[in-house]
Amino acid sequence: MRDISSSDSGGRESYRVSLESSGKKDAIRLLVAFLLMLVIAIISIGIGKFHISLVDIRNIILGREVDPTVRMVFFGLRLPRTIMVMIAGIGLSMAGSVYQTIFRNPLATPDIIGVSTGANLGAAVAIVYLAGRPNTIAISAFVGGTIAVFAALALSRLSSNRRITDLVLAGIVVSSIAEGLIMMLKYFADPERQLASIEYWAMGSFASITEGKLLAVLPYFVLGIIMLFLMRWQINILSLNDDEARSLGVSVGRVRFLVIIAATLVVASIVSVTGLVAFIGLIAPHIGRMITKRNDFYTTSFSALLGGTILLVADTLARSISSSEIPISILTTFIGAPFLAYLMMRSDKDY
Amino acid sequence: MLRVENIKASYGKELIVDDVSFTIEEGELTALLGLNGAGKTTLLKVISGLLKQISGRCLLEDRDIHQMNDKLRARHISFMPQRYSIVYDTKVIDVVLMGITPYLGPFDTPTKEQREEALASLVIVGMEDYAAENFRHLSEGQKQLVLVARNLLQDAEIMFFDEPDSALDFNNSHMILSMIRDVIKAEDKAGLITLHDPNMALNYCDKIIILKNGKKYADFYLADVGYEFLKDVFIQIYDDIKVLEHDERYIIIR
Repeated sequence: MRDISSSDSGGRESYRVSLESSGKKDAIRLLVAFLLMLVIAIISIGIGKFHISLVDIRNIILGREVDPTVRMVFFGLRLPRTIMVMIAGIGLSMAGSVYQTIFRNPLATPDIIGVSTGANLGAAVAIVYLAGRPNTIAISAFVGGTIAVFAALALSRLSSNRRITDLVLAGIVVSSIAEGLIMMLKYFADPERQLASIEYWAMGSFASITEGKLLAVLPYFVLGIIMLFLMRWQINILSLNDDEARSLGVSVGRVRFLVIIAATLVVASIVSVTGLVAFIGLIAPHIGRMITKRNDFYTTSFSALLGGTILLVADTLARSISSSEIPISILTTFIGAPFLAYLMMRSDKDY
Repeated sequence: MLRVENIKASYGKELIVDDVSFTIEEGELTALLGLNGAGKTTLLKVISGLLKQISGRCLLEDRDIHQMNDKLRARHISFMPQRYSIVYDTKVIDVVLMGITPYLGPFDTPTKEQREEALASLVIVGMEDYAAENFRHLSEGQKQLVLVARNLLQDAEIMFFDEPDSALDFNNSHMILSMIRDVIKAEDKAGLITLHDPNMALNYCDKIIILKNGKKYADFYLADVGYEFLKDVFIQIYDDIKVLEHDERYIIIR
């Protein structure tokens, strides 16, 4: 290697100092985001049709006696729901950040290659043909989302040059076919019960989350997150164009395939039980990048915590601002769409 | 050092590179010249291992580079694209650090020592003061310098450059070419660079290879040839030109 000691300079020293301080800043920022999410989560647990006071929450956490009804609401309804909301926010934001990186497109969302539409189709099939019990819907949605992504990947392999745009086009093709099938199912569905269920599923909700559902999807979620974590450096390299990434020694096709599989596991495990949650995978990574001013796995993790926090706020509003619950995607859309407009109008597009 | 033998390559049905052979040696900067469509970029992609050839082979000390996997090949051959493809905010030091990728395990991230090496590469191109800056805020010339630093960190014995001056102004073009030449000499690398402007090749390169319609038209060391030879060769490629001699250097005008 080169001799590095002979050519030291003031610039390097000042860089080392700034590196050390920015390392500390990074750690603090991550910690603050994490604590903020926890605080919001604890407050959120108490809010809803049945109010749980902060004192009761403290007592439960400390293992003291509380009213049995309060205990039941806490463990049976709120805790699984709040954890699922955090998981959904974290997972969808992380997948969004990863997709925006590897597709080199700041507007890429977790459903860019068809996972959401596929899951939607799976759910609709379960509602119309498989009696539509919640667990059946979840499994069918998971299968639908995964099949859609594999179909898109297989389709993109048919093209000769295998560019990333082919993958996006393949995603559009698969999504369109799934949309068509969904419309067909809706047309033949019983308008009283089935059609409504299909529509509600596509609006997303955390109202029916139980401990059982949470534990059922958790392994897939964790597996996907671990895979993404392990590939964090290569994900970074995939943000370059294919030739550049390959010349740096990354087998682009294989790594991108694995990254997509991992992100799909995360997204499919979430939407299979929550239904579609709009925009969160778009806004959280953008805010993350705006704050950190870079785009690496640190930013992805930071965005994930922001996404968890935002979704907690949205879900708390969803169950408290009116007498009946509002579907979550209505709220995230009303937050997300104006935010997108704001991004559009910003003069310097540094995100 | 790198022996390119009888390469034929195509995009789709059309033959773009037709039976080209040459060698490049360490400590030398070789220019690959030719008009648009002569096959420069295609040839460069084939010999970097980024594109499969129809026939022929590239041997690096008797090892076929197309038999190597991406990671192994990246330790021997680096490739600097015409233009950076960074789309998001990234610190300069992190752009340079990407060059260490061929030496990382599949699940690793760079170590502190590797960060120091990246910084040392920035020192070589004189960009160390910008280490913590946002890459996207640099000038075009500075960005290309950072990419040179990244290729230095990659530390491959063969360095390819695809028209690194194509987006640069006059001063920056000369700056980046002289930096590339200095690096090739100081680090004893084998360098190959595609260029549009033959004057750049005459100024900075040891050897010139000229492509015409996908075939190799000429291949010579500048030190070995004189005015008459250069005039004859370049008129065949660029038609209506004059070659001037000044201070033992040659300038092509049109």
